[in-house]
Amino acid sequence: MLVSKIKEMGPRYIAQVVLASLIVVVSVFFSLAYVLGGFVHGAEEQSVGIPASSSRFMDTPSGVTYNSLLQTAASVCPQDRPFILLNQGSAIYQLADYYFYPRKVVPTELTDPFGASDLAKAQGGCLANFGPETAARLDGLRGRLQEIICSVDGCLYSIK
Amino acid sequence: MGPGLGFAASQLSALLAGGLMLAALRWWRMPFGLLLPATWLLGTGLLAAQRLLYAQAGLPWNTLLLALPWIAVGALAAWRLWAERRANGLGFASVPQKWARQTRQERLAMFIEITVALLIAVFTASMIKRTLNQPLAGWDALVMWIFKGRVLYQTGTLPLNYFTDPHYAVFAHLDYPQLVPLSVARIYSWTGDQEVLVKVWWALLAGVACAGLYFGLSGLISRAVRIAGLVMLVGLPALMTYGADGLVGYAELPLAVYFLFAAIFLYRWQSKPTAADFGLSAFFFALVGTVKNEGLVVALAGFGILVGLALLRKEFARSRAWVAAVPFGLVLLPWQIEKWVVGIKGDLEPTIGAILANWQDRLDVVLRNLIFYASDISVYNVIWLMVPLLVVSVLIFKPRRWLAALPLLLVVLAQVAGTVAAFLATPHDLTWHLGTAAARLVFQPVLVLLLLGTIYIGMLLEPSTSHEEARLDVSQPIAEPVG
Repeated sequence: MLVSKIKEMGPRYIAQVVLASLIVVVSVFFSLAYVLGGFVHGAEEQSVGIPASSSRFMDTPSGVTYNSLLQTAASVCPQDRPFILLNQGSAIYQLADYYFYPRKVVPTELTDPFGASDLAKAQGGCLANFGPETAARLDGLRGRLQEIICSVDGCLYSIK
Repeated sequence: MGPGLGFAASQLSALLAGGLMLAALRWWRMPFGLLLPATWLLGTGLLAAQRLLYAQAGLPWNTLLLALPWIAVGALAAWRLWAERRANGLGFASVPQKWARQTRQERLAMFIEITVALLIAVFTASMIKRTLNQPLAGWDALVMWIFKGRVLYQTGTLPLNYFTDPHYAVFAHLDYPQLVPLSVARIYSWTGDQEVLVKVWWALLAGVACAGLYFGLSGLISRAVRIAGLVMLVGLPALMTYGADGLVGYAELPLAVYFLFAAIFLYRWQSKPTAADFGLSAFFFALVGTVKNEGLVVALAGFGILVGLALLRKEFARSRAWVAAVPFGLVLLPWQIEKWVVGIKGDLEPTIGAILANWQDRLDVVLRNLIFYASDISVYNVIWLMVPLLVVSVLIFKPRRWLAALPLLLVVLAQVAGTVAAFLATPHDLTWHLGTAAARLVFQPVLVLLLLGTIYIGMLLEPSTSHEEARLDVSQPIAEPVG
């Protein structure tokens, strides 16, 4: 029926049908390749329930994520004591704001002064560092810090 | 109530709100596969708009106050349905009789429609499962969209001290419209602060897009072509990324889906003008403008085209005017007015001066970047590549039918023009800005492009008919029933 209809409509219609069919075939081919590829390679099959928050996904191949670290900080660090974030120019404080709201996290950058007196003022609070060079700033101060959790990017401490 | 049940209840409340509104307006006559997602999307948008208006009026978001207007809408809906039933009969009782009267071909068609609906449901369920097995990880999702939803949920309003705080203004884009944060806050009010569970909303949006594409063109484009369009959408890698994977929590998918539904109802109204299709297109265009600032361009272009076509067809009676004015005034404008009154400024406010000053230096780089991302077959299939080819082909082979889809093409072009203008005028480093935003901006119109592509393919496969020649005038309804 379709063939007779095509013959009836003439070469112009044949050109239309060929063009439209070609586009459909190409795009459907890519779509099916993607869908079937997903089936073959298996997608995101973890056997977990519905986690309340991303902290349940802490066991990544590279260790604890910094998200989880900040989330832990939001739940274990006292709200009424300071939270010090030693930062190395990153935007990680924005993520801390997400977990800490309504408390704002103002980062202490490498260029900002930091020492024992800052820890003394923040006693009972928490400190986290983010970035490879920030850990060195804690040398000589570790006696006043108790490690809570570490990620590949930094650690969370309570200040004794 | 457990979080899962709470989430289901939050979505059913959106469905109820949308359903009551559609029944009250008598806008519910459309294929059921389109009615269901459109109702949910409309309800979601209206509940967000209601919360915004309450916050601006200083009213708390408590259950009683929030329910009050919906009781009135429900009463109106019940009266309208009762009146209609008295006049015509709703036809529910005659379904078995209709089934008995159907021919074998009609039953087969219904079987296919039900099968497609089930497949879309299975696809949506797989997206939900997939997204629940991953953390909320997208940067903008965390520090912008879900963060704002969390703030709104915790404070029970839109707190001015947050939206005017320069500390948050640095990164949280406080000027952005509020549909997504308000929807997150509304879901949290049912589930508690559940940043992983809330991602299911994005998976539902992906499913709704599929239903919209397939059932929205029902009666306008042949079933085979609609199925091909659906396969393209289900197999679109970008839909998986934004609906279940790394970019869940971003506003791109909500914007794209509202844009899709605005376009669907615009095309349906083009094809067979009804008050419902005009009104729903206007509502959805308004809602596009409540998702992201980029949506404002689409909303204004959509309104302009709707009103322009209605005037051209001499259909812009008083009833049409209020249908266009209500969503514009009560849904789109309130946040824009608040921004202006309170002085909430964004980082990006393109001016003609900035565009004119930069276009010679930047246009080439901007276009090359946008084309680079849009032509990535591993993300967008061939959608961006096929549409220009189809535009030209349909213009050559079916010039009169080409006009029927011209309004959709124009709103897409408006979105693209807005994107280019934003990059031309950006005060940020252009390379950084393109690198962080261009890939997402080319996603925003992609569902409408697929809709357009499906329509164009349908047009090419339709045999030319003699009465097609009578369809030259775009100001006339372009009825296009497909058997």
